[in-house]
Amino acid sequence: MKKKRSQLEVIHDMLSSVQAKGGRIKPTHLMYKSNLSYKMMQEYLATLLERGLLAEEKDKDNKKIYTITDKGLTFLFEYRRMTEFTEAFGL
Amino acid sequence: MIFGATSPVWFLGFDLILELIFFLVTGLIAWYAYRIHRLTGYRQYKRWSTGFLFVALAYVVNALTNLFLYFELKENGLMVSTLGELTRIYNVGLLIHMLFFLAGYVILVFVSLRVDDARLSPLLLFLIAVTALASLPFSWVFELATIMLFLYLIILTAKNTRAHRKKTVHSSRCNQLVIIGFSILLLGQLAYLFLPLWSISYVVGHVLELLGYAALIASMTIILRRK
Repeated sequence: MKKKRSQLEVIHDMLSSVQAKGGRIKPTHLMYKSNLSYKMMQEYLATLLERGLLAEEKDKDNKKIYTITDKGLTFLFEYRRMTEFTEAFGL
Repeated sequence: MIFGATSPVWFLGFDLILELIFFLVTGLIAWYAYRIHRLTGYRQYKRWSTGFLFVALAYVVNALTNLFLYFELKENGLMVSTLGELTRIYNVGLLIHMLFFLAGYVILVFVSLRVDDARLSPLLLFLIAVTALASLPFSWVFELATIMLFLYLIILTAKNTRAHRKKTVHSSRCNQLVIIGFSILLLGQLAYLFLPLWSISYVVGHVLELLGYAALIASMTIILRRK
């Protein structure tokens, strides 16, 4: 059986999904692409928005879309190092 | 206990350089953990950073105390009139060093244990203070406490890493280096245990600490050079 993804892995999967979509994504697409339930996605979205890794905007139809921020891109760039640091020290 | 009684004369000055190296290594780990905290917001990285920052400060305090005493003795020599004052300064420096060192490694152990309960803080602070105070006349108390902390860190680091899902070749090597590093640091503390018997233990302890932190910095170098 597959183990649960770590918090860092979930954040990485969400940000990678946004980046793969050209830096902007609709909430439903984000949910499917990052393989999360609606409830889990809402929880993680709140965290990502609060930490400035994603930003919320409105499209021309006044619907919510999420864009990746510079901090979010830095996270993706640093992700490998961060996971290796985490695994090396058993955090 | 006055310094010089603990170190062979030929080693004076070398210990200072080594302590500054230990400060740089632990400071680097603290900085990187804080950087991850800034990016992710997760508390365990902040606490890990705080733990290593305390250890780094412990080495700074030690280096500064030794530096002050070296200059004082070089200027004025060892005089009976100043012996009491120098001993007091040494003891204050040693006490602050032990408080920071114990607090740092206690935090690291608690992060590894995944314990995050603020109610424990006053109790831990009390136990750290009592251990540090008891270690002034009986240095083995401090060494035994740190040996215990390193033992916990080694076991927990190995156990926690096994629980991680993805393990790359790089991270396994880094993890082994970290475990080796903590193990050598434990041996270093074991060497200091014999300080009242043989002053060469001071040199052996420092060399082992250098090897331990070299393993940690090797691990950090592999991580930070990764693209």
